[in-house]
Amino acid sequence: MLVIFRWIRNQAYPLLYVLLLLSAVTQIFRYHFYQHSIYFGHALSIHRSIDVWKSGITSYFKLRTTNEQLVKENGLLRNQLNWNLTSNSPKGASTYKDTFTNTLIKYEYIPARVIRNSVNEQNNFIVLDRGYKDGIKKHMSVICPMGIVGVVVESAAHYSLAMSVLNSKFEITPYFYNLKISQGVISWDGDDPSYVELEEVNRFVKLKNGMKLYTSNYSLLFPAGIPIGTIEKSESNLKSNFYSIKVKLATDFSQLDVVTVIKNIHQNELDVLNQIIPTQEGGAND
Amino acid sequence: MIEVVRFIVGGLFFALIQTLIFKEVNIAWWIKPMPYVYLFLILPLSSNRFGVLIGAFFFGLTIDAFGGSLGMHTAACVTTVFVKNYIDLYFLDENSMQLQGMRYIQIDYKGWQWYGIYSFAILFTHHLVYFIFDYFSWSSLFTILFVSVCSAIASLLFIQIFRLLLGHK
Repeated sequence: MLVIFRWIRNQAYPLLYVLLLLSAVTQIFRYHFYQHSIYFGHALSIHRSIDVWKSGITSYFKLRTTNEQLVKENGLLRNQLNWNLTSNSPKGASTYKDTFTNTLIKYEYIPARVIRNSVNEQNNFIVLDRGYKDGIKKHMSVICPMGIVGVVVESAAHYSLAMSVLNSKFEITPYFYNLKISQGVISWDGDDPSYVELEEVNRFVKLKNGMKLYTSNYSLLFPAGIPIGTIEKSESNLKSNFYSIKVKLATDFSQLDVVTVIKNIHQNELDVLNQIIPTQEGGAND
Repeated sequence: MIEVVRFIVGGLFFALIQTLIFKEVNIAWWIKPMPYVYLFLILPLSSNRFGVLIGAFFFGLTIDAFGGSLGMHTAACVTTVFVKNYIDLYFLDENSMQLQGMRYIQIDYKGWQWYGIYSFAILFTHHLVYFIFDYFSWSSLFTILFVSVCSAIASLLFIQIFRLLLGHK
């Protein structure tokens, strides 16, 4: 404190000058319209730049919240998509409503966060931070904004285990958007986590590299139209009737964070029907 | 005390001259003489610098009140008096002047040329501050410098006329 007083006493003259100058400058900005407008114009622009800078920093710290809000909004928007409405059923009545749930929607979306993920194993699994208390059950599909992720194979109270696309037991039939057909089986060969193999596609189908593949209507687990990947390379030979296709996955599994678990409201009906159809043992295929 | 009264009366006189004559007479857009700065040139060498600073503030305030330019002359006067301390350090040897029996800054000390440069330095400081606040724009920087130099020269000429009229050495 004494040091401050001593400093003020030593700098009394410059301080008095600054005080008097400030008083004069205040009068200038107060009583002269031109100077007033320029000063406050500059002050306002500085204030705005500080605001922009400040909002940049605060928005950075709010990224997590914003991300969560976007995931929720995505879920809501997905619910409004045409293919998610039961009114698209063959009955065709636009006013058709589900008699059990009294809603028009077919799927519900549950946002979840990946808390464990692997890409280096032969059979990779993903652990999600949502369980059956959040409505997650076995056989629900998991997607992310980039594309398909996997299928729930087990759910505990607060966590669930999903089989990743990067699992040798995972199989799915793709829909060729350009050709308007669903054909073949996609599976992972356990090699590169960015690529999967597509087999059983007839070699008379006119394939092109770069064609986009989506989940098809035939899938019992995934809604139609979720991106799977792009055809990177296709080979065929006269010895076989099928192509050997390499597909680049739409999902980057090394960067999985927020995912969406899809709940088919009518899953019980599908399960009942599935029990009637004889299926192969093991594997979570569609 | 008498000296203080003399300066107050002189200050009022210069304030009136400035607002009634020099403010109204339009010589050229780039010449706006403010010879009242002469009051700072004739300050005694031993004057209290705090008193002079506060005095300059009220002197500027008076001119502003008369001329309706609130704050401009005040800022210029206060800055001039503050900077004058450093100009004096560069131009004057106060001890030598006091030994020679000089109580005020006189032409006799180092001649006309020296006095002209010294006066111009103080006048330019004053005018520069005044025109900075008057134009208040970065794009007018060269205009500010030009008008400051021209007006300082004009003020210097008027100060010489005052000196002759008042019979100052």
